[in-house]
Amino acid sequence: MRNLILLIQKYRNFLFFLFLEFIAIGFLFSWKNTYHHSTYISSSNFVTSTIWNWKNNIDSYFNLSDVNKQLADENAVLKEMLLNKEILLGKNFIKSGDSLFVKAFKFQEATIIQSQFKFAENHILINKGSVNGVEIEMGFKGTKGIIGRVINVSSHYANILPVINADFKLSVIHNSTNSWGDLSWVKGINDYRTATINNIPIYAKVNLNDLFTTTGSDGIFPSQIPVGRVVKIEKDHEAQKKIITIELVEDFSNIHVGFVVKNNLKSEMIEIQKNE
Amino acid sequence: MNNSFQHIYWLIGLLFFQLFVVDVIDLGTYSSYFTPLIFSYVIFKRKLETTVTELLIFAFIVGFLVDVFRNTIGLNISVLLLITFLRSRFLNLISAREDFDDNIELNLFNIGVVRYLFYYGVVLFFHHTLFYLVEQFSFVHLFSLLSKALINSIFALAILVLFEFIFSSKK
Repeated sequence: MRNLILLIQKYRNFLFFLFLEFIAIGFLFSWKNTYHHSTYISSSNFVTSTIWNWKNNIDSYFNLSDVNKQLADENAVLKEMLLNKEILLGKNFIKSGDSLFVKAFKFQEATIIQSQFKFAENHILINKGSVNGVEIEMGFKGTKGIIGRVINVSSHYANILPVINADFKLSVIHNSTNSWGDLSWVKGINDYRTATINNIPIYAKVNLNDLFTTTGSDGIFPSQIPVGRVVKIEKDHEAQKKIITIELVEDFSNIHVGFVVKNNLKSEMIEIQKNE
Repeated sequence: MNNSFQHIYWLIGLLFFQLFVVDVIDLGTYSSYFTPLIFSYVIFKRKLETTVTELLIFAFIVGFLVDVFRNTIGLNISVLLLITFLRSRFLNLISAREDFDDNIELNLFNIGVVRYLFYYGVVLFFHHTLFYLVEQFSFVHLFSLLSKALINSIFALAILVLFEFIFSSKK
């Protein structure tokens, strides 16, 4: 017994180190595995999010011209879509109060108060939370294309898992051939401007600068939201697939505003997928 | 100035600089080559007489603060604890223990430029390498990882030397 106590005394620093290290590794793995459930210790807690908000209040004035430009660009795109639609349908055919048309998607404007883009684990913090109706697994869209998915919500803030994080997975569609692929972001290969698309069949005719958009199949995003444009095409002859590198339409080093996407029909969609 | 207050000032100052200045600098494609980690300095400058237990608790707190702001809980804590535990090995690199007093802080003016650069250079290189390994969680692209660690530790060292000239004083 005495020897045991002496042994513990001799190695007490090492044992204490092991104890703390186990706690840290426990934290690490619980965080790594929170694919879709909330973590309690995250940057959307009260103290850190308040501090990030202060910082944003100070430096948001310097970004105002960027924000203005992004919103104006988006406005132009939306206006173009709207005007084209009007010509296509004609005014007489639009019925606004028809119960056949359900508004599936709702958008909630939000300000990005912290964004990381140069690490292997990037996260985004926005200033809208459960009070504003934000829930876990909602989408988050920027002014040009998709940004990410909500993974954690506090009462006034929410954490976003952006496209530029290895945990983010989404199915995307090639616009001109309608081939489906899987979007992912590979640590060490992709930087904050690019992402990788796998599982495009080798016979699909993909050209440089082609647009990839969301499919809408997951119920998080509506279809036809831009994701990125092709910059590099590689062929995997063994698997008969193409590996495509895209340049994301959103510049993650320079995002200030975005929209939380709520799908009113998501529960219905999940139910019908369960029955399959 | 009271000693423990001084640690807290350094901690707050370095964390502030790390989170609100270094982390938000955008260098385009080369951004990943400018992510230096400078906060380990508050642990490694502690006096030789500081016990390992005290250092480990301090490292846990520092790592926790960084992690909670960066939303990477556990990542910085685990790496910082490991290099803190190895502090005496790093100290052996620069000299035998008898060379300095037990109660001086290990800053630029107290230990000399050559030893300072060597000690903190090795510490920071270890810190960055381990950090990127745990962050990436695999051994692929080892060469680019090592070059990233080397470049970032040089940047971190430069920032620390700058801070030393502004804030440190000879005892």
